[in-house]
Amino acid sequence: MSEYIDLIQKEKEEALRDYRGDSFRLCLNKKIAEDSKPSRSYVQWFRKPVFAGSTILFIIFLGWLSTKYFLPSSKVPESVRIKNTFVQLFSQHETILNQSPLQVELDAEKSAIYEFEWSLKRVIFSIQRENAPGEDIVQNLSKVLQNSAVLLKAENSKSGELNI
Amino acid sequence: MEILAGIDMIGYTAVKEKKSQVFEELMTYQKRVFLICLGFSRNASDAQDLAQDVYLKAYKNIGTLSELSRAKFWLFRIARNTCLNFQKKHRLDRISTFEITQKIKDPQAPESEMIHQEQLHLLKGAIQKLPKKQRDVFVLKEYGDLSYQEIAETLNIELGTVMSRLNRARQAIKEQIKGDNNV
Repeated sequence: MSEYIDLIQKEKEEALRDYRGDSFRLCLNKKIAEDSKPSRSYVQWFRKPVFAGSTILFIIFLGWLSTKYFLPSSKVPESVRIKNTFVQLFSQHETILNQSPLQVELDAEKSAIYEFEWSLKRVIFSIQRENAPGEDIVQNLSKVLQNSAVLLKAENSKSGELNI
Repeated sequence: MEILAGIDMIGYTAVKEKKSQVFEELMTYQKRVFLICLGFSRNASDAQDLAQDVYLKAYKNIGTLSELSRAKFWLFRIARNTCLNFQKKHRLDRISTFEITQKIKDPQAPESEMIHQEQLHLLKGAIQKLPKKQRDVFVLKEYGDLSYQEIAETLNIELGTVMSRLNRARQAIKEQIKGDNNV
């Protein structure tokens, strides 16, 4: 048993003979100092992409904000579309009236104007109520206006007969 | 608010000073740490490098140490873990004592030195062949000169376990050396 203990003891003594406590401390202090300061290459590697990345993210965020607050919302094109529809509608209506043998004098009768207004409203409301975006407003309004024109003509002729 | 900040600063400085004091206290164990590293490694040069690593780790992590009174055992634990990592990294289990073997083969060395180196080679080989748990206890006891209680505290095991592991380790070393000498 003591054989290997002696051997270990001898190994330890030899190792301690070469061991220098002062140089150990100096070397350790040097390593601690080296370890404490961040390496330049690491800083360069870290800073550039982080700076670039954060700038890109910031620009994307600004872009998102500007689209949210400054660009017109999706409702605006809808209103433009309705406006265009009405412009088209009236021009088409005028064409129909011009082509029609029955000339309707809209400003002659108040009730006719009222009926015309409600015809438009009914078509628009029904399209909104039924939530049918594919519906052709122009076509529907044209039909209604044609019908109302026919009705007005019939009424006019009726009243003419009575007057006679 | 300024008073609170001042108190906080004083507290911080006090803790920092305390930790610095603890590190200085740990430095007094440098020879023990070096010897523990010697037990786990193949030569004094490796042991010195390992001891440096141990203290560097201790310096970096001293902030995580909750019980300053147990700093000594914490340091020995770092030493043991650092050496085990070194062994894993350099596969010392397989190529344990290449340098010693080379010394034995040196024809210029005196005969007594050659015998000593050969015995040392056998001993190092026997230590490396020990099961890990037994090797830890054996090195801490025989190289680090730790008491049974200190070993128990370092490895977080019972005192009885330390004794039994050490006994088995000693027996295994004895048999190993005997067997190698017979061969």
